Amino acid sequence: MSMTQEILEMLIGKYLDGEITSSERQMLEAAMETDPSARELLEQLQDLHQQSNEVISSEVLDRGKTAEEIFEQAWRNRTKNPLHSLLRISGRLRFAAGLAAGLVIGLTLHFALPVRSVPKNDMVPEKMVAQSTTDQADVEERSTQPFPSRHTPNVSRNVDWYSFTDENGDQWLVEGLREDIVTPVAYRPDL
Amino acid sequence: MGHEIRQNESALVCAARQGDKEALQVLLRQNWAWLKALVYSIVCDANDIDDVLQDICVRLICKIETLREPERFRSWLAVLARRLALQYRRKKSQRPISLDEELIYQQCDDKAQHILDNIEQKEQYRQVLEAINSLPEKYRQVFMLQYSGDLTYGQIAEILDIPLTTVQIRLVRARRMIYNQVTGKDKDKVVER
Repeated sequence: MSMTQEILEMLIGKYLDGEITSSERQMLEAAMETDPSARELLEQLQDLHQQSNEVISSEVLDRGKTAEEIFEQAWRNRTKNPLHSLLRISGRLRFAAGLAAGLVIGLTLHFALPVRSVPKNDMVPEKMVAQSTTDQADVEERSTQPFPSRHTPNVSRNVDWYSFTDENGDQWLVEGLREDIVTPVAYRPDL
Repeated sequence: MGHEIRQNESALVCAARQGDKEALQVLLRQNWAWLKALVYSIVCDANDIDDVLQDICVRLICKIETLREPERFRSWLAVLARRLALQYRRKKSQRPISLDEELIYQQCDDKAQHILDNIEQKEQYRQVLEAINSLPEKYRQVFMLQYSGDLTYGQIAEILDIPLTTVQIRLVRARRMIYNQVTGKDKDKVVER
């Protein structure tokens, strides 16, 4: 299809849709006078235009319920939902409600959850410390393991603390040794 | 004139956002024809239009308060309508057609048959409607909006959020494709770009 043909069809389309400007109209009229096929195309597109109008009116626009009917039904459906009327609050109120909810959750978490922090070196307990209250037997068993403590002479050690959650969801504060245990050379009379 | 209508529409949107039922009704009535045409351009079945419009109305009532730019009401409504119509079409394509539905379609066809007295004219209408339905969606949307009432090219561009020249070009090509199909000149078909 040539560019001229597409421009001609655009001019005819604008003419049919009532969008043609006066200069475009002059161009279209000139094309009609010089080209009989342009006039024929105009007549055919005019027929199509009319048929399209009629078919869309009868098959789409004039069928079905009216705007009022559908709106009333939608309005009833909308008021049937009580949750919506609860949620239908203004933006500022919604923001304030969100802020208050966040504050309550934050405070609850702050007071409900036990505080766990890494103790300073001079506060390090001598043996493994368990935070769980549900498995005391296990704690006692572990605490009997012979660990070198800070009171053991000539032993230095580095200590880190790790938080550990077991499969039951219990939380443990675990003493982790980097095992830099250094025992200085000492005289052993039995060797 | 157009500016006044736009101002009026913005005022109606502001009132609707405050829960004014009448303002919502007026807004809907003013935009009803093109909304219906747009829904048809997506679902391509006149029997489904009311269901989709019902969904659109419910959503419009619930969501109007979230519209921040009242002057962009039409394009906002078009986006809402397109999304819901596409959802409906997707759901429908996954659902097997029941015998009852086929019966309803048949009854609708029969009804249309009574309306159209002239057999030849009916055949022409059927051909035109088929040609419209077989257009690529982007062309069909522009074409349906153009024939939905008295929208200008500028208003169509605003609703679909596309440039004015795109509206003009799509209309020309849509007409050419329909013309080719109705007259059987498919070999001269415009290639979709």
